[in-house]
Amino acid sequence: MNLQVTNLFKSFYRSPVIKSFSLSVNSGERIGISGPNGSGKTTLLKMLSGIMAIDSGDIQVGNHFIDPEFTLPRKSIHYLGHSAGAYPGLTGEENLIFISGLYGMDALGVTECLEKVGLDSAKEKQIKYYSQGMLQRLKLAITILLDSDILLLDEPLSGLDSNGIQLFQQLLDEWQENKKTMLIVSHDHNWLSSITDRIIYLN
Amino acid sequence: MLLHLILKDLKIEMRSKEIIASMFIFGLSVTLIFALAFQVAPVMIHTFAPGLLWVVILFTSVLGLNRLFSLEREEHALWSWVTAPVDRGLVYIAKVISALIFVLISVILFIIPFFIFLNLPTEFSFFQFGLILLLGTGSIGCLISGITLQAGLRDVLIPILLFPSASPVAIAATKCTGFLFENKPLTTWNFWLLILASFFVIFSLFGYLVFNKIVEE
Repeated sequence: MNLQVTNLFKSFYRSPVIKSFSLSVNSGERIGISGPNGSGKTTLLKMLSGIMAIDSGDIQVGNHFIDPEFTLPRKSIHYLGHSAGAYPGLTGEENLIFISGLYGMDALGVTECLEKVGLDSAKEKQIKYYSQGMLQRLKLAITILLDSDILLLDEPLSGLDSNGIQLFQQLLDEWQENKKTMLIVSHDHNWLSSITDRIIYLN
Repeated sequence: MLLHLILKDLKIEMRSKEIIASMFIFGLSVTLIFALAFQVAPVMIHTFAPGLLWVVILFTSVLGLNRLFSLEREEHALWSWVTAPVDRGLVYIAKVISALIFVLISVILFIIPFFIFLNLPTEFSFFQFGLILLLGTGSIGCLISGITLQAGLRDVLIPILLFPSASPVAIAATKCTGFLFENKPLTTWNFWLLILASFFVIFSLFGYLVFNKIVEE
């Protein structure tokens, strides 16, 4: 699915973070986003996912514009961020069932997703007891479950051990085969250049 | 979808019991303070009882609602529904219903000692009392808690915004409760009940309409 960003503008307390940002991403393309701290990488992904309001500009997903009143485009985008985006008081399995319900999906794929990321043994544990690496795996499980066309991955390797990194590489290959459009934020420029088609540098 | 969202709040609360337990303990403590501190004639207590009751309910509600919305901030759990293709207004309605359930449970728990310690008569319609409780709690508190969801100083902001905006509701609810405790017929105080119902509808609808925008960062 295509992603079209036109003249995006965002400021915090009158200090602009993103100014007249435009970007066109073709379906199945992998874009790396790099830049120093505070350059607006996470802000950009949050605006694309609908978590953060935009000051001005347009974000178009396929044929639809991102708008708080319009729920349909949200189904096509998934944001994997710094936080889990899940309830600490629920177990890993309950969180996935809850999220699948929000997307009108049945819970049949939940166990399979947890097995795929190696969380099947911890699925009945409340996620407040998860380690950082386990939370990162849970986020990957949510990403697999939702199977969105556009993936916004913010520091996806953060907290993962060597097995986790291997798992992520495997998922990246699967997502590329399935023609997923991806925007990946990372500080590791070399890694980004090895896995993406092009890199955007924000400053 | 509404049920799905409410069940999530109930499941978390059933496991932790943080909201109901804190509201009940606080409500009971304030009740005991009122019962032991006021050494006045029973007739005076009967006059003040409705107001005292709503002061307790208002303060306990702040405690519970603050916690109910804090659940969404931990690990940015709200991202799960903010980015999902759901009507965010429904999330607000679900929160109002969850809040009503939690407030009603905690009120039921501390109202028994409230009546015992303050030696109040209990010959009144429990159905009408339940209706006043239902209309008097929930909608305003949820709106204020929702508005402050993304605010940094929300613990301070909630009481500052809630108490002034909830005063008309608290006054109407106190009047209704007073008339009810005196066993006056509904026709003599339905005006106050209508005010309460109006506030409930207005704040619920307003919250439903604006929640979509206010949950975004």
